[in-house]
Amino acid sequence: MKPTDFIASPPGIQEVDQPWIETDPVMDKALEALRSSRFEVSDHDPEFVGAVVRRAKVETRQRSLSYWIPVLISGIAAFLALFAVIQALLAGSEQAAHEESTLPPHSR
Amino acid sequence: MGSVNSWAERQEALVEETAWVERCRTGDEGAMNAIVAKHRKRLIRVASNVLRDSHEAEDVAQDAFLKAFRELGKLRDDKAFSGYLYRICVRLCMDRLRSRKPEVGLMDDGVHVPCGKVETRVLIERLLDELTPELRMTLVLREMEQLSYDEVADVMRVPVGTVRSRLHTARERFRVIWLRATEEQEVTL
Repeated sequence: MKPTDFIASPPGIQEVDQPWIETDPVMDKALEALRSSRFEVSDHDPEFVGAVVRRAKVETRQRSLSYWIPVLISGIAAFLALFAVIQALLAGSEQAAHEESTLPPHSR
Repeated sequence: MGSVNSWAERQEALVEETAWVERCRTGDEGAMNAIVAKHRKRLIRVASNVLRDSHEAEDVAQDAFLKAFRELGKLRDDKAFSGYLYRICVRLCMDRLRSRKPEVGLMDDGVHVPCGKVETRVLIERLLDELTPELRMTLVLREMEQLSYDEVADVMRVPVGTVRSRLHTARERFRVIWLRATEEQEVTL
């Protein structure tokens, strides 16, 4: 048992990579290389911001269209169907009235 | 006093961002601009470090913003927007990594141990390709993005214990492949 085993780690310290307990030069070098190959990004890029906002607006418009177009088409179809039914009813009643008026008086 | 000030500043920034998110729900262009400008750098950086491709990283970052705006309705607490956006970006990066074809026989075609910065990047990119997406993401978030274990767990939606074990495995594997690459270089020389 190592002398350090008796020392309890304070809360939160477990997260630290405890280099004083175990050091591995190969690991250190590998991780150092990993960290040094970090990408850096410029602070400002108005083109990127503009592109995202444009795409967001296009998407919003497309979503809005994809919602309203079926609603509109359904509405038009329903209106046309209703119109056709009303026309048929009117035509039927007109025809009945016409037939009634053309019948000879004794058959009425 | 300084910490009080920085705490106050953070709270102010949070309130400001919450207001932007609220305005984004109504399609406010200015608010979208502000949010994208604020988070762009961090998102592109993490995606670049994970994917090792700055162009692909920009695409992923754009997709992350669009997805976040599109699914704002799913966000219950506007104050959590920043973490929500980061999680989306990480998830998209994971999807990209998973869809990549694994490169087999990496060491067979000769890996050169780096002399310069560009070579280091190339080597790291090839070594990271040998890790699974989960191990790679954990290693990058911890070692390059310097996130705490709790933050990594939150971003990746896994328990902290899983993060610890993945990080341990990832470091060990990375060490092994690094060592192999170094030894091969010594043999070549």
